[in-house]
Amino acid sequence: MEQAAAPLLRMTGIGKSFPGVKALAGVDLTVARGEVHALLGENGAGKSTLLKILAGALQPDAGTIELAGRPIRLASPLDAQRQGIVTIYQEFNLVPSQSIAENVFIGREPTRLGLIDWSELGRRTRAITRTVGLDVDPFRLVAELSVAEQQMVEIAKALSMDARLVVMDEPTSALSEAEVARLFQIVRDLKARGISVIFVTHRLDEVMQLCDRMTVLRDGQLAGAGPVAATSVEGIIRLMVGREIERLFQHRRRRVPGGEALRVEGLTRARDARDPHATPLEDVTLAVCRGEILGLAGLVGAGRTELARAIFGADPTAAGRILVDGREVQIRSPVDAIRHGIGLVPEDRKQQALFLALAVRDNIAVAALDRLVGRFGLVDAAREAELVETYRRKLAIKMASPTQEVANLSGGNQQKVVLARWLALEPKVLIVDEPTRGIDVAAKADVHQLLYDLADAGIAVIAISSELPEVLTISDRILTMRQGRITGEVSAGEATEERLMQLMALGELRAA
Amino acid sequence: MSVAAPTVDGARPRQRGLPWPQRYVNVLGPLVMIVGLSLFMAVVHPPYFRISNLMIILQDASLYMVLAMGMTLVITGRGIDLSVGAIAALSAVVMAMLIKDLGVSVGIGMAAAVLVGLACGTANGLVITRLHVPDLIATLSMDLVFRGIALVLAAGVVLSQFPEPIPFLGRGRVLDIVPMPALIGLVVLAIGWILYHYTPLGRYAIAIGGDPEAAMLAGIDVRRHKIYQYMLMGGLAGLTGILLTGRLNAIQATSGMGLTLHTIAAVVVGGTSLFGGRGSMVGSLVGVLLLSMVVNALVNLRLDFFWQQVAAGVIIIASVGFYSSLQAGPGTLGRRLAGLAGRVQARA
Repeated sequence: MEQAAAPLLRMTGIGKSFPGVKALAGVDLTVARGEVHALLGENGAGKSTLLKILAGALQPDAGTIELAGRPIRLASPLDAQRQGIVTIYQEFNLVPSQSIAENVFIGREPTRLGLIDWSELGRRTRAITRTVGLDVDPFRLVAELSVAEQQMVEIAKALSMDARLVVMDEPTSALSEAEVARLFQIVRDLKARGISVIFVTHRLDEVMQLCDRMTVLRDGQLAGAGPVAATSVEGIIRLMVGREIERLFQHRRRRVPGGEALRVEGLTRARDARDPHATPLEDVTLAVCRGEILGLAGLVGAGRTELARAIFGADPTAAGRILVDGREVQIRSPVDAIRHGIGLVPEDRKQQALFLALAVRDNIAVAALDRLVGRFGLVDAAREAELVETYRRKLAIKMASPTQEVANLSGGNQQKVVLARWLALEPKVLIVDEPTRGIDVAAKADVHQLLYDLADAGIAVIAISSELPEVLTISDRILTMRQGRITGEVSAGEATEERLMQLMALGELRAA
Repeated sequence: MSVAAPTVDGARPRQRGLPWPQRYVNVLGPLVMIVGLSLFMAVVHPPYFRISNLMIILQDASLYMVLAMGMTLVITGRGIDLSVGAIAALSAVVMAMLIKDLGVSVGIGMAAAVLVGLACGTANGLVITRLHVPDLIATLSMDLVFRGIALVLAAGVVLSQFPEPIPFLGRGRVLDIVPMPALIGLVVLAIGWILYHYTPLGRYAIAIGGDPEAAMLAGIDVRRHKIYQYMLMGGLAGLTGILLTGRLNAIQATSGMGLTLHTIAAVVVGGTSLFGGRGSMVGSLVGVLLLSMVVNALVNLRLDFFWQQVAAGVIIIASVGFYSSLQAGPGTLGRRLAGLAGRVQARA
């Protein structure tokens, strides 16, 4: 029997252990009907485990789950979906080579005489996607859609399954500001229809804006829960990390930068048929000095990542010169870039930087192997171990042993592993693309401090970040980009979020 | 950024990858099958274990050992080489014609075989990296090219009666017992093991196979290393051509037809992932031995030749199914076996 008074979802005393790790212990989560509920916690706090239990992908060792007052068991992802709990993962579960319609109704296509009824499929799909603000041809391929549109397809799919609870894991991490605003509107519409939403995010300002109540996890346990209106961002952070925020994000102590380490002149990248989503670069000129942190701000699609990859030789360029220490260099591949002392910590840690199946040791040493070759062309194991140990200490990487698989480290420690790889090459210029994406608050502070130390050691650092507060915190000087061009330059002293947003969104060329 | 600090006292980081059970768990499946097969043969057909028969097994396995070394590296690097049989034949035919028709000395002839192999491998690598043809399609096509050239050179001809050391390398017995080609195969695999774990060549292959994009962005010259991998594979196929010629002391353009798929099967049975990034030279040795033992057992049991193919197919499915069940989660057969091995290891 459904009880009208009961909350939609009540998870009580949830526990889950993995060999050697207690991931969750005694966690409660209650979500009311039509409520937007924030699930918060640092990486490793147990959020993912809880989400997987809710999605039916993992079975809890202890605890009960009730849906609308009725005890339930979520035996499999399909089972969870049938009961109206739909999870939208960060990496979407869409088939890119199929149409929107086929994705929304996958496995449940309307049929006539046993054959798929295409016109009915299209009609139904359009009706549903319209409700989430996606009014496009239902037979367009998902591969042709932007990330934000793909997300809408996922939400449409959830609605088509008559979802009562939609779980969104980091839904805003790949969206631009405008797209985030649109997503918020969709979430509010869901709420108005009585659908509950669990919203997982690292961006606490979003919690304040959007969510009604929250549950905070810390080290696999419940750290706190309650209405969002009764707390503040600082209050949430205190719950998440269990310590005061003041010490966490130290501003960079400014220093006088040294000579010019890298100069880029007139860098241009044409539209690339093989990579149609990449933003073309138009006549980009910039310089960064030794000991300086240059922040690169821009909205999604502004061309920041493309610029980083072009400087690093990962993508072909049509025109432009690159000078290192005042001498022009030819960079046609990352191999060339590294030879000239340029390093790049890519945007996507798991896809572009880490070898997830390999040990921490291999991940740190991989770029330096050529330099570690000793007698008979063999890699000198002792020197390799020493290198790994040196950077483990220097970066305070938490790991069980150098042979531990890097996939088992937390996000923050994984990012430190990638940074260690580059530090081992002793670069002159280090470009870091979204260095703190998806890592917890404490690790983020560590990474910031590390960037300061690098700059203080005389390395020129170019830091790309989509979080304006972060850009403002860590940069000595900030360049803004829009549509593949540099639109402004602001020194740290005179930069404000409003000023940067103006330059990023409107592309006003006069730097104030 | 100076490098300082020796390792922590007492807590020396372990040097060699994963602890024993996880490192060699991929060999467990074929090893279990080897033990099972041995027990079965011990009951059904004891002469299977005569030294003479065991040496025949080794002799049969020898060519695959040589090829498996290169193939393990190539497959680990997310590639595959379907042209090795044709390269072996082409190398052997060129060597045979140089020696028999042109009167070139045997040493130069053998060197030519390896060089032809290296050249074919380089061609494979260039087609894959410069023309961006997928590895499978590239080597499948090059297989036709190499085999075609061999046929053009020596269609319908059997070249035979080669001077030493070719027959000795292909079928000689050291101390009148141990097959020479098997010794060569074992040495090649041992070198392969060192290459795989202790040189940039092997470690980069693992990285490239694990994630090509990440490898490129880590500053690994992915194209160059793919070419190196196929070159090494080609050179080893050239060496195989010499051994193949020596085995029967005769060669023709159609020789070595079944080598390629048998080698790939052995490597996969030995736990090297067709998706790249994971592999094992030790596993490949075990895989090669298992397949040769099965073939020999079937011959000993006087089963029809065609049953060998059925058996090979079943073994591949059993092995790969075993690894998959390892990944699939607790409670599966593979996991339980691995757990058992871990406990045995912990007690020892």
